[in-house]
Amino acid sequence: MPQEQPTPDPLTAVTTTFLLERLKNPADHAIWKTFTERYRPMIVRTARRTGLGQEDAQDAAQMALLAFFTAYREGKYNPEKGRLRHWLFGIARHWILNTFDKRKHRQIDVGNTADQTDFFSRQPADDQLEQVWEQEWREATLRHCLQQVRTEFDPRSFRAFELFAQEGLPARKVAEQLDMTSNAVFIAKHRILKRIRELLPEME
Amino acid sequence: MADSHEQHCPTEEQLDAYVKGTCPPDSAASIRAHLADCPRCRQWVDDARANEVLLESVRALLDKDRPSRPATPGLNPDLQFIEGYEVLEEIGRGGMGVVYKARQVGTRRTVALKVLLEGPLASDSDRRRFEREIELAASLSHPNIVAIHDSGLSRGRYYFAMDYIEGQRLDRYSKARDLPVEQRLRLMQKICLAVNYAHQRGVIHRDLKPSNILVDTQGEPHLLDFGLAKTTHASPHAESLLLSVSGEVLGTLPYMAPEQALGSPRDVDSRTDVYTLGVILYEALTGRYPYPVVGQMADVLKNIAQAKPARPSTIYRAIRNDLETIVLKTLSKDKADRYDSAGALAADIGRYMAGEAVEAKRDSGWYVLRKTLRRYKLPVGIVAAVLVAALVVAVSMSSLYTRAEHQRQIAHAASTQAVAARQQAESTSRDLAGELHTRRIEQGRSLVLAGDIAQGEYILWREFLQQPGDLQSLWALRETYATQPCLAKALASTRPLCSVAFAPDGTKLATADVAGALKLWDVPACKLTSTILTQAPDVTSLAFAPDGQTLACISSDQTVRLLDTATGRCAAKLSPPPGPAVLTTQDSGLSTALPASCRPANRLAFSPNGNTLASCAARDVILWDLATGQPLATLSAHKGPVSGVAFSPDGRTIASAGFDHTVILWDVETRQPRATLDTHLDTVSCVAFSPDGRLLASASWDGTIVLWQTSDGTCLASLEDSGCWIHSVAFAPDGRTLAAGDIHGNVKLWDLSTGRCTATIPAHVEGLAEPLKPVVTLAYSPHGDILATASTLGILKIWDVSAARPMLALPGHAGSVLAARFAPDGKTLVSRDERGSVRLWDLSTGQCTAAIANALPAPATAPAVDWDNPDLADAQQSLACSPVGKLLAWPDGHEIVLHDAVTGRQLARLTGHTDRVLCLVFSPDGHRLASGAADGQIRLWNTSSLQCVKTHAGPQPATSVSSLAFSPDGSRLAAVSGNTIEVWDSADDWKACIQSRDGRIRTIAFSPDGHTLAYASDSGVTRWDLASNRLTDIEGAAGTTYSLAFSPDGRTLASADHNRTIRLWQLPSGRCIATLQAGPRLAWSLTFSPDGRMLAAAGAGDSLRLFNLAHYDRHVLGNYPFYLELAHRSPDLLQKVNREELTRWAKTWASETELPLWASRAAASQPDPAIDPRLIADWGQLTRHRLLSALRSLGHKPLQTRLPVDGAMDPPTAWVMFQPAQGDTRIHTLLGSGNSPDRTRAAQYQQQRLRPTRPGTAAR
Repeated sequence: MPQEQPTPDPLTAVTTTFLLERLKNPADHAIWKTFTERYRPMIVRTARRTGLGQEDAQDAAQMALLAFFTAYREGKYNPEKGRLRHWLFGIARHWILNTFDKRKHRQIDVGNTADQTDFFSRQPADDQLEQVWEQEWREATLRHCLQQVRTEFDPRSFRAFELFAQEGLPARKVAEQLDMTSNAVFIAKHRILKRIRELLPEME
Repeated sequence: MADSHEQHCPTEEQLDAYVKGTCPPDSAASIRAHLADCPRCRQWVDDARANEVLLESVRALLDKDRPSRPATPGLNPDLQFIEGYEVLEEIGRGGMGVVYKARQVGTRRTVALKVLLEGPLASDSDRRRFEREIELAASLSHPNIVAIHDSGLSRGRYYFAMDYIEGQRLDRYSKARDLPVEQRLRLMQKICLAVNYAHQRGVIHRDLKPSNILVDTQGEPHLLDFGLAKTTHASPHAESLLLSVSGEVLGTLPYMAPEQALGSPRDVDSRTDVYTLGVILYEALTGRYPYPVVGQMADVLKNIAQAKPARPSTIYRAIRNDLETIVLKTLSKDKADRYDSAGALAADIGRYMAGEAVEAKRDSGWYVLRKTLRRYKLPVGIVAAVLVAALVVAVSMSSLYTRAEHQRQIAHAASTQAVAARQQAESTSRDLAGELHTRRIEQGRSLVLAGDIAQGEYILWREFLQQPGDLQSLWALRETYATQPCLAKALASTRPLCSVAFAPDGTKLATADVAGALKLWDVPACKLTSTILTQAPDVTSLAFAPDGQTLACISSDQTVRLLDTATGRCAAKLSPPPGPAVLTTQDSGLSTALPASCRPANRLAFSPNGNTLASCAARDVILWDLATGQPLATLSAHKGPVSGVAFSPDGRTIASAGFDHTVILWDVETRQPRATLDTHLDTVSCVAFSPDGRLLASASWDGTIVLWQTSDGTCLASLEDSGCWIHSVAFAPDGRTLAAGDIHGNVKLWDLSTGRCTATIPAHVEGLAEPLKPVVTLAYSPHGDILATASTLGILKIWDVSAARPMLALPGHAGSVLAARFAPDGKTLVSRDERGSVRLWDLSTGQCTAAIANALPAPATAPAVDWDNPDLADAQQSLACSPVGKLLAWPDGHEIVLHDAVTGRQLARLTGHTDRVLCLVFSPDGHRLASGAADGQIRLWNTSSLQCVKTHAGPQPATSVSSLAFSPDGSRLAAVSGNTIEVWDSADDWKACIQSRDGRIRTIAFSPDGHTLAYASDSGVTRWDLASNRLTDIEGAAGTTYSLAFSPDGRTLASADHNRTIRLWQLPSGRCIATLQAGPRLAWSLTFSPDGRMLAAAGAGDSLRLFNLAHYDRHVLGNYPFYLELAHRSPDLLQKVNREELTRWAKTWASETELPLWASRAAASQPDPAIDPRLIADWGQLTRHRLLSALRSLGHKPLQTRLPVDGAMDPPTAWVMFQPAQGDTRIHTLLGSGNSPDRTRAAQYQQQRLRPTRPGTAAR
């Protein structure tokens, strides 16, 4: 997935503040889509890590996002009072636990049992859940930053960064492959990482 | 920003090295010095340091995101390089090819995919051989052998797909769990039995080793990799293809048998595998190989061929004598010294574990004696004395014994060879095809019984389409539809179906899919009559107007479209009024954001008078005046979006369900809310009124259905079963049943009088393609006999929920029914009971039309418990019905009474016998009547003159003649007394005579072609070929059989046995194709109706049962178009479909007149206070002890049972009769749950009303 060049969607690379601001506009449908694309996988992953099956995790994520959306539009979220990730976590946690409760009643699920575990009665410990959430959030934010940074730099520099810093190829090889000086490779790595660091807090 | 540094600044590369600490110390020093002066470089270094920290996280992230397959050279990066499968990861590599874990695209099933390395499978014959090998391996169906699902050639590579087993290799498993010897032996036993199974089907593994045996988490071993198997059916000169391809000697060295090591592949047979099993056993017990296997290959081979294995007891002392002998026998260098088969090895292991004498030591008489003595644990002194005395005996016996044993071995070897020769001589391909056919049917049936109905059904239909007339596949399909009565199916759309509705007159059905295509279907044939393409985007619900002329559909933008049913024209479009109170984008966004699977489907309702329409819009319900098309009112009270709406049958109340977890009842006139019903814990998805309007049902995502009283909103009951989100509910038109569809494809039927779920139909549980869920919407037909379900997978199904049953019990007799016969026109049944009363039944209604009762008075003292007296079966021919005319005959003491069936008047009494007349039978032309009596005599009577024309002594002097039969051409008469059958021909010479070697013969019957005589005896069913005089047993019919009957077309034989089951056997193969439950009482007197579609069985305890064998043919015929359609989509199946046969079959069936559909007599739901069937849900795990204890603990008294003594019960034939605790005089019977070994289905029971007993009477 990181191999392809993403189609430049002007909305993908937005900061959280921007996102939240735009969400207030009821006529803006596209921003909702962006929001869910950004945060749904994270909720699903968190849910899955607590032991829910794929379908249940997706259900929980969907309900959480809806609940967030409704509450947000009703003005319940105040950015000054707390960070988005905490607030979203509260909602996600409620729905994940809710889905757990439902699972308890179910005995034999006649559907696709391929990825169901028997964690029926096991409730995830609260702080464990929070840890998982934090980790997922950080990873997701990092991913978004990477995506954004990719659009800001020229493809060759970014590729150099990928090969050198991420894959660990020696700088000389990278330079050969991409027809740049080996110093340029270092420069690219430096600038890209710096930019990511700048972006990170905004994406939180 | 320019990045160029000044000349004396170090390069970025150097700085980077400095930061990472990888630069040499002197340059580090100089850089440090530079940094002191250069702020820009300092900044750079600071940034770089922070960057390194970040880099770690970035790297970690990337590793996570990378696909999990390790980068192995040669691995094709293309995910779908085998068509139809998505490769997930590589699990192993061998000489032959690579094994991947993959997912089958169509079914999302996880499989292990073995892909052979590219190689020259060039010639046609090579390919065919490979395919044949795979087919044979695929034909193995055993719980411990990994099943092959699929194989083929894709993009130049051969592959096959097997079950994916999550487990450990055998050796690691045993070591990890540190298993004791006994458990290892048990595992080995299972493995040996599996290998034996394969051998019996002609497949030798040839590469057995612990890495080919996986043990799963349940402890069950699974044998893999039969891909190297050699078939014995192939010609001995044809080597396995794979051997020649790879050129290497097959098999991993240590497990190779001496004959393999010596390089003579032709000597490889099933005993080679036995040897390998020996090595595995050796290894399992001692942890080592029998001989050293490291070093030069030549040395290893020499060891295998010549070296003696180290005795296991020297390695591991716990291995006792006998076990060691078993192991060493298995490892014999000479094949002849080993066990003949893996089954023999398994048996010996079993004997060892049971402490019995082991076969391996059989040839010592002394040994057997000693072992037997030890088992009986005689006191020591006596043992010694006996031993001494026995020694003499033993010695002399042992010499005899060994000779006999030796001869036995020779004979056995000879017969094995003869068998092998015969097998090779027979035409292999035809056998193979037949075998495969049977195995696939068995596979399909097991899948259905195990619950994977969609897959099983598909496999059975494949077989049926290829051989339409075949009884096996027909019965397997009938059995499938008995499990889930689907009348018809259609692939309605490639998009999800969101709604289904019946037209009020019940003749048509409409479906809507999310793309806005509405389709009208004919019921119950499920034929598409018309399609209306509305332009509606994203339709969510559909409804018919009460007059059936208009169809309304609503889309997610809340617009309602009214369409004319006949023309399809959009008559009106109702758009909700704009306004702040009504439509906010928030809510519209909400409904599109919901997963398609969860969008409620009840958002429209017509008022019963057809004037008003209610629709859901955001948080409100809008009432429309259909005359003007204008909104009448907006009902707003919900705090969240409205999910569903319904009108009460009297038109005065509207119920609306919402996402706010509530249901609101509105008064239509005042348009005000009357009550808010608030017990649900989650979104209420659907509401429905009962047909009489008194009840309201609300279904919710919290998994419950709540019943409310409409008048005041009281909560009456809550139905909960599995906690799964319920999507749709509907009341049956008679108001007694409620159907609920959930989001997992199941439909549950609830009986409203008991509040219990009476049936779960896995309506749409097909192979699921993520992320779609098979959410079910449903609708009852106005007649109440069919239920239509549609799912988001686009399939429409029609279900038979009528009360029609394939079995009808005819009550009315006062005692055990002795015999039952069909009248020649097939419309009437005559039956006679032990008290002498004769009844006539009309088969279309199931009612008794006449009782010719010269019943004996009831005996003064009624026995306390009615039990199944098998002697009554002897009287099963005590009623005869003339094939022409309307004569009935039955015995009355020493005399025979003749009646006119029409008038019911007695015509004559025939005298002549000197003892009780036992059996009567008319000749096929109706001119003669033959009678047999307890005096051992047979008399022939002329039916017109009523004179006795011949007297004959029965087969055995002074023994009752128990059964008679005329051959179909009337030329021969067969008679039975005791265990002898004699056949006379018309010239009065007796033609033939046989004696059954085991037990009494109870019934005989001629086959319709007159060539065979079948008889039922205490040892089963045997067929006597009259021409060749050969006797063939029907295997599987072992055990006392009381009755049998040939079907009129001669293709089926029915038998009733002591297990209270009636089995149907296919002729001439003798395969069992169906098992019918006769009920808890013994059955005899089987007769087929003249058209062969019904079977009557009389039996103990006033039971007279009629089986409509063709009951499920409606279902088969109804599903046929769907599967034919599916066949069209699969080219390789299509060419195998036998077209002319199919068309012919379909035409014949469609033209036959409908058999009567019998509604079940007894009220289906009688609430049972005494026992909760759900208590005894787990039949498969029950043992007799536990069941009886459970009953006793409830205060019931078990009286008579048919339960195995230990081990799990066989559900279909298990039953318990008990007297319930409440002192009810009736005796209840608890039955195993029919065909389903499914553990989640509760046991059913039925009440048997027997002769009234005094409360508290003891059991017999």
